[in-house]
Amino acid sequence: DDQWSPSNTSGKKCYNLRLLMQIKDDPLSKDKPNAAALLETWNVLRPSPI
Amino acid sequence: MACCLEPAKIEEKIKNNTQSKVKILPEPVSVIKHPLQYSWSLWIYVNDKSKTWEENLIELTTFDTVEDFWCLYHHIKLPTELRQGNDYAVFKKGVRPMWEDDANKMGGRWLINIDRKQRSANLNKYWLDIILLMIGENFENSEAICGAVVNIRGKFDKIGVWTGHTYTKPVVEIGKTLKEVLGIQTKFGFEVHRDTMSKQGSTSKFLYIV
Repeated sequence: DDQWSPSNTSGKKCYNLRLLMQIKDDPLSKDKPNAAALLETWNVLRPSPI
Repeated sequence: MACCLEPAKIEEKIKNNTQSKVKILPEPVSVIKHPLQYSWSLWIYVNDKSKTWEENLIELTTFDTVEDFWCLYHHIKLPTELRQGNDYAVFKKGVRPMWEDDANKMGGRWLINIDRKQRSANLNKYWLDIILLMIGENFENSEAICGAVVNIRGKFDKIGVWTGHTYTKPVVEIGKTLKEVLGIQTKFGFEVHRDTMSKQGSTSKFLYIV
């Protein structure tokens, strides 16, 4: 179908829950966020990642 | 033996070794992230009594790829780990999580109450599933979605899924999808923001119930 993928970058940016959960464990999904300092300021940064 | 090779041959041997090392490097890893249809902002409401309601509402960061959402998810506290009185909100970028915002003022919210006893079982799961439904464009009428708020409170926690209008067909579809995907057995209702703003008592009438 016409879903976005690296080989179909003009596809629809729709992702079902199963696909989203698969991407959860990708190394690209584990990096510390850019906003970490602000997250820490407002006390929402975890001491260690989930 | 290497000690017997002429300098030119030693150089050639080094060059060959270097080339062979280059050859065994792994293929470059794809770094293309999955782009989302919209950019989304994460907000926190902190309950500092010395500040106004608006001053207590802070836009923390935005994300526009699936991977960047997960990076955030892995590094921030779960709703159950927030302090009582705090809220998280995830809204389309540019929409403030308040009734007064132009994108919200003609809309309303599906309101899911979560009993304190159900908190550990359901609160974090509902919140994550709702965000995934929103950012992955899993509602048929996803253009009607503005965002979602989770309120951490004493007796009941609340999750609201906000829409920009109150038209029956799209709004009811969103409610039914929420009920089905979250697996909620009890009924819950849709409040119109204008009614909630002007309400006198502690309950406002629901426009729709699923």
